Amino acid sequence: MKQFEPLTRKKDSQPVRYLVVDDSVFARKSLAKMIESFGGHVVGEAGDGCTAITEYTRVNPDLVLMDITMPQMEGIEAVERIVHEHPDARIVMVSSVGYQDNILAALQKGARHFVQKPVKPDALYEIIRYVLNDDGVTATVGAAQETSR
Amino acid sequence: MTFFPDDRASELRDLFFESSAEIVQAMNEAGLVLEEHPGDEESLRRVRRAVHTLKGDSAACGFRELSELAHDLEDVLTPESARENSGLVPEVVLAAADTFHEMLTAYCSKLQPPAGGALREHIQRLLHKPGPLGHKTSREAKFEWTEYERLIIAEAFQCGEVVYHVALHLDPESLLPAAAFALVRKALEGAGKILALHPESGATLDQAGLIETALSSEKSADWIRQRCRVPLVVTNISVDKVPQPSSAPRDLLEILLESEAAAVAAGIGKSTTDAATPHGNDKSGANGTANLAHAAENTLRVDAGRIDTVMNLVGELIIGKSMLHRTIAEFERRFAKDPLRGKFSDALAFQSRVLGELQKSVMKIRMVPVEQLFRRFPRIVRDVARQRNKDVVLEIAGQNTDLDKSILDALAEPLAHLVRNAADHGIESAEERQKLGKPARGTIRLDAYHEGDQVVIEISDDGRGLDREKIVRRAIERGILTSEEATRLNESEALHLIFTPGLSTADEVTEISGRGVGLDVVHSAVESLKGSIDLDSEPSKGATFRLLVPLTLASIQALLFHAAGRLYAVPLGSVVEITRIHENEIHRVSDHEVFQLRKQVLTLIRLDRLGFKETREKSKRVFVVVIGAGNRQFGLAVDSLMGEEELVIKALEDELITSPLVSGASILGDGTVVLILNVPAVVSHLARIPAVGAIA
Repeated sequence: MKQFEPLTRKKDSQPVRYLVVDDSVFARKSLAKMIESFGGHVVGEAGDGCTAITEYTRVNPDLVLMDITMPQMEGIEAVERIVHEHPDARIVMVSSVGYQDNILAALQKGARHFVQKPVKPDALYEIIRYVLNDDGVTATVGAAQETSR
Repeated sequence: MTFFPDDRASELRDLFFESSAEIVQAMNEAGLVLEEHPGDEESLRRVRRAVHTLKGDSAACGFRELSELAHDLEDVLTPESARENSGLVPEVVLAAADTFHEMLTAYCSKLQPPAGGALREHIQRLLHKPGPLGHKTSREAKFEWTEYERLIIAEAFQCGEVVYHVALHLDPESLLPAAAFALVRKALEGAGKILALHPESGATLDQAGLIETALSSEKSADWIRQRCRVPLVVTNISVDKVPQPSSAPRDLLEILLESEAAAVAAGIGKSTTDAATPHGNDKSGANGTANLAHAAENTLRVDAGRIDTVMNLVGELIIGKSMLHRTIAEFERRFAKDPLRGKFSDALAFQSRVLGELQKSVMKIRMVPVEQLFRRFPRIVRDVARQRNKDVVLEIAGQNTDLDKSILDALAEPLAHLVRNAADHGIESAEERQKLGKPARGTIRLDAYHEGDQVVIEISDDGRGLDREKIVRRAIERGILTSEEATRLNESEALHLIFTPGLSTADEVTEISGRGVGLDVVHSAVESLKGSIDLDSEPSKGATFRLLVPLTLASIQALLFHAAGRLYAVPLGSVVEITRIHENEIHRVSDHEVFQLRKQVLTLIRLDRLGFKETREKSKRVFVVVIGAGNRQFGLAVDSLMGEEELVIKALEDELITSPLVSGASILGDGTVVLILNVPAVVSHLARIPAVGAIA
């Protein structure tokens, strides 16, 4: 897999910590692989919305990748609950093609961004950088240092 | 080929073809509205709905090509593309209506559908005209705010805020424009206060993917640029500080006045920014469609054949009724004192009343407003006008006039022909019209109204009219009549020559008569409906065709009479009066027998002359039924009158007994067969075969 400039947290230059939520183990693994290629750490995994909420509270990740359609509790509801508890939670929705309404709903509930399946590493990398950059926890990019504030 | 088992499939297919014909019609209408009012979002929505339905239906029926094409079309028919390419969209819609129609016709007869390549090209043009490369130059951010938005911006300045104009181009590849829009909006909200935003929602995002906004922010332009460059969504972003207006902030009135003036200058329907506001300029279109939508509800689709069956049975009942009438009349004569008499006639009266109601109701089922037919013509006129580079407007009136469905269907082609002719040959070019001092825009009027038990459909234009001299000259050249005969023609007869087969089919006649080909076809179609055509023309003022057709083909009120030893009937509606004349009041003028009725001289027809039968007893006094056909009157000599009766028309299908002079037959209560005369045919027959030497 292609290696990216590692994304790190600005405050302590530590690897970015991720929570990956998807009911498909395969999807979780492939996302985890990408996250590793970005220099990040997957600190938690969840297969449904309920677990995602408890896992979030437990690991307090920098970023969540959340599938939209899952059993028991849909991604949208999980987003709502997590953002309600942790207003600064950064959640990126992962969705299949054609769930625009769901994505809109999730964005409304507080998700920061979305990426479409099949997830392309470049796209996800760009999005993560944007979402992290968004809020204080700035990722420093080794070589190509962005002129951010 | 379909997903349904065979027995249901054919039914569903029929339903599909029927409903898709309506969809195509709806597209045609909406396309025309869009041409008039390019920004009419309601019409556009209507087209989209129609196309969407067609897409689903055709997919369900297994018509993949059509479904795919409809899918492509649906995608490009967005309000934005309409605003962007206002000229192109109606073009595409109309082209699509044509293509879909062709494909449907092909499917219907189980042929390979046309590829619809032209439509695809159109769609491509729509897609790519404001394409990802082109739009940066062609679709520049203009920041045209509505007066309300300008007011807000002005207020922000007043409060000392810094205002930026931000223009963002969304990635045209983005599969989820609405979600992308939501992201951008989020980003903008995070960067400052949104004062104005176009479009206001992702649903109305156009193909160019341009989002314009006025943003009040304390951050630097660079920061905003950074913040709003959403990866994978925004391809291009520009942030410009809006200069503080040099003058003092103006008051509300001033701004309103200015925008008013701008709107007037821009003309109605142009303003692209206003189209996004709820008070668009699409009121007329919206109302029209709302009405249509209402009309569509609460209707039941029934195969016309079934209604015909009911109608036939009612016809039989009417015959049965008159049988009963006769029998009871006979009974009354024989047993004048029998108390059963009263009961019989009571029962009969009751039965006839119910039967009458029944007949009326069944007839009403068959009746449809002529609007169904008239709807097609705006498109025809528009197409011809375009082709010929003319400016023609079609005015339609009386579209609520009801007419028997089968008559309406039979009139479709002839009417279309006349309308096409009027637009093509009748209306002059704009320059020519202006030279003649007429308005540049030609007018064609379609009207329908009841006249007695007939329906009149009128097509008039204010074009050049028919050239009587040329028609007559042409007819003589063609050997249709001799020049000597020609001198005796009155105005109407001369004009009617254009319906003669030999005259109107040749190409040159187009220039000579000023009318196109095939008017004889129109004539015969109307005649086969037991109707007639009237024709008025005034050189350079225009021509009027009046098609008179019976309200229904199922039954008529008729006058029965004996003539030449047979029983005949004529529609009561065409009977003007009945008179009696003496044999010696009949005169011969050239080859015709004529008689004087008050101040009018009328031609007299004897049915035996028309080859019906050759026996004629000499009687001194003759009954004459004065019959009006179109604007002509003539007298029909009859032996005795039988009275009037409601006749149920039975078509004469056997070729052996069919004569153009007889439009049908009917059976009376006593089983007698009566022939119903086709009045217009009799008249024209008479005109052609003068009673040469008929009088001994």
